[in-house]
Amino acid sequence: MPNKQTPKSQWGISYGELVWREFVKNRLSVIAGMFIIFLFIVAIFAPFIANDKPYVVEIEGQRYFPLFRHLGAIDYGVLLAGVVAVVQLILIRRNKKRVDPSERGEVLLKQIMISAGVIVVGLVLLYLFVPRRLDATNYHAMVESGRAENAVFAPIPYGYARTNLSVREQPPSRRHLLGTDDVGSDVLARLIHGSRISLSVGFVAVGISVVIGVVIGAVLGYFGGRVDFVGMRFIEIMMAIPQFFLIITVVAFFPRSLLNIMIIIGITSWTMDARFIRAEFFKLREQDFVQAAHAQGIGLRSILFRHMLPNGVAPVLVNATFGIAGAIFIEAALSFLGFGVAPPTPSWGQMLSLGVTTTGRFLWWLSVFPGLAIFFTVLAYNLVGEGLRDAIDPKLRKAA
Amino acid sequence: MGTYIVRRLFLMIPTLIGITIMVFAISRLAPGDPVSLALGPGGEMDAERAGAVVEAQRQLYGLDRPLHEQYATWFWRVVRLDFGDSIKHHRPVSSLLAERIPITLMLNLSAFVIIYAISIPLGVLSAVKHKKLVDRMTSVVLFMLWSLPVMWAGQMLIGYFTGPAFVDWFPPAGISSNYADRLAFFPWLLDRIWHLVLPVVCISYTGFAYLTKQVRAGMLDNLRADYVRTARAKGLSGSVVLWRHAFRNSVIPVITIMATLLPAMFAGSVIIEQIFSIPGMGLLAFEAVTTRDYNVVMAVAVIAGLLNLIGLLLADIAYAIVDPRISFEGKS
Repeated sequence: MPNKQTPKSQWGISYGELVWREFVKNRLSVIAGMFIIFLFIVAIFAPFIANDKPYVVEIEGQRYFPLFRHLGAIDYGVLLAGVVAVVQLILIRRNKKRVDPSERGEVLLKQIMISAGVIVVGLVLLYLFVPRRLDATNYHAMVESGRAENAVFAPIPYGYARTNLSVREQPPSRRHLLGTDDVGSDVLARLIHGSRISLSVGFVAVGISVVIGVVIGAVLGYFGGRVDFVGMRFIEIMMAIPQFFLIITVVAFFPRSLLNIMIIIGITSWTMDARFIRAEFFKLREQDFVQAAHAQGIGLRSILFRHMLPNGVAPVLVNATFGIAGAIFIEAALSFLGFGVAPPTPSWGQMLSLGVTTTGRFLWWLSVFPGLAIFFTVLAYNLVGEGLRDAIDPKLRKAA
Repeated sequence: MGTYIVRRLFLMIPTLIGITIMVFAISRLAPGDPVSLALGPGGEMDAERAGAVVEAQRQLYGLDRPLHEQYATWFWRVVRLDFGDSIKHHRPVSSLLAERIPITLMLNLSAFVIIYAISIPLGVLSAVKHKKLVDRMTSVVLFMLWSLPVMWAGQMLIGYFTGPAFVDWFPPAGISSNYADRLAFFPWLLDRIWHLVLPVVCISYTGFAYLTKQVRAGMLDNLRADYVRTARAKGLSGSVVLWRHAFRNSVIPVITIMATLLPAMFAGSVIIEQIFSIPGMGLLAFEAVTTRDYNVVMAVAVIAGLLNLIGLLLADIAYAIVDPRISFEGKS
């Protein structure tokens, strides 16, 4: 029986809806948000947009689907995550109309758990069953020589790892819309695939830093006293070494991989989150609802994270959006310096580093396009963060 | 004042120890042992003799002793500014650092002065013309500058201002020309400035975007405050109200922003010094990481932390000088 507690007419507006309504008033932030969604769509469908394998091809009268057979577990996994995210959004919209506000939190939590379960099971299945064979066939050559017919290629018929030394360092042309790099790979194809690295680094690194920051900040803020003193000294030490120096120190000693870079950025950027949460919890722990939860004998973990956290999470949310922009920048900078993922995995920062060759020649298309990609992505996240902050902070709302 | 500074200096000691512990921990948590890394993969030596060589090396560097002892030895050497030798340069790390740090400081300090010199008037102007065209334009431009990746900006500047692509106005690399030693002081200075234009532009624009925004916000708050209305009501002239009342109060928080700007600028110098081949601490760090010159990496991390702490201390002292409400003898 839905709606048993509150009649639908009295549902009122939730905090999330309030923030959302303020947020959409800021046109620039909304456009930036749409740009980020567009980037995610590009990242999810990257192998379908830029690939040197055709969707379908006829070889000696038989029809093959090389692109789909060549997709790896990661490609399918990303698609799955995309589908789950869309389903999640639809469910949230539906809840708004049907579920009683007091139960929404529970329902949402249940849905997130189910989605996470679907993703985990899906990833395991993919890992087990997706064949990881390498298809080195050059379909372009086959089509040209007439061995293959009726081939339908992706809109950008180049893969990110395809090298072709006969067309190296070519400026933009009809064949290669954004030119080619030092080994003759198509810049546009690499840009499209590179979006995956940037977006995932931003998300995972900030996810890690928010979790660490929230837990440490909550503990320090709730207990105060000696725990807080020791914790704050630790935070001070973390903040004393400039973050980029700390990161390259770690990079020097640890093996370089995408996961390591995400973790490194995550574990070096949680200090702000921890300080925000600590400050909020200092205020919150004196309040009646926390005392009441205590009196009811609710467990510590529940008090900290289910009762107090939702009331103090707003600044962290805003900081996380700026944090994503920062993490994308740091990854690009590391890759630019050559400390990032190893080629041929495409990364915007690594592509940018090819803009000036070792002999000092300036290849403008290798500087302008990856640079613009990083710039617009960072700008979009910063704009969304700005919009979110204006929407959340009621003091600024009045002043503006 | 003196006692205040001394007390602050003493408070830095535990943080410094913490920094060294952290750097040491990173170096020892990493997979692989420094000896096998230094010796590289074994050649055609038989296992027994190879093992003996590794063991001898471990003893030589004290790696066979417990961790806290290793840390204590290392820390004691760090206190005496002995960071060991650089593998790449075959010289003591401390003498390398002594050469490199002044260059980085010069770069960052000149950027620092420029940031404050431009940001403060611009922020004040923006606040006075609140919501007018000037304000909106500066806000948009600054926001874009704030998001502009510095390696891209640097590369574009090199590409378009140092070579055949557009104009050839500035040198693409280094901090002085080959013939700089033979120049008299003023030509030498001009040469130096000519080399520093592009890198300093790159270092300053992010901080300058950030600081202007803060100055503007502070000014807006103060211009709305009651005491400003009172001052106006008394019949004081607009410029007196602006500069003597509102501005003086807005400038205080701006000084604390130094504390946020400094670490960001140090971090940026790794990228900028690499792009412009400036032989400072950042480039040293970059080369050390690429060549796995561990002593240098650890030394640079410790020194970067130390310089940062000194910056914070200076910011606090400046704050205490500017704001009469803060007493030197009060509780920290």
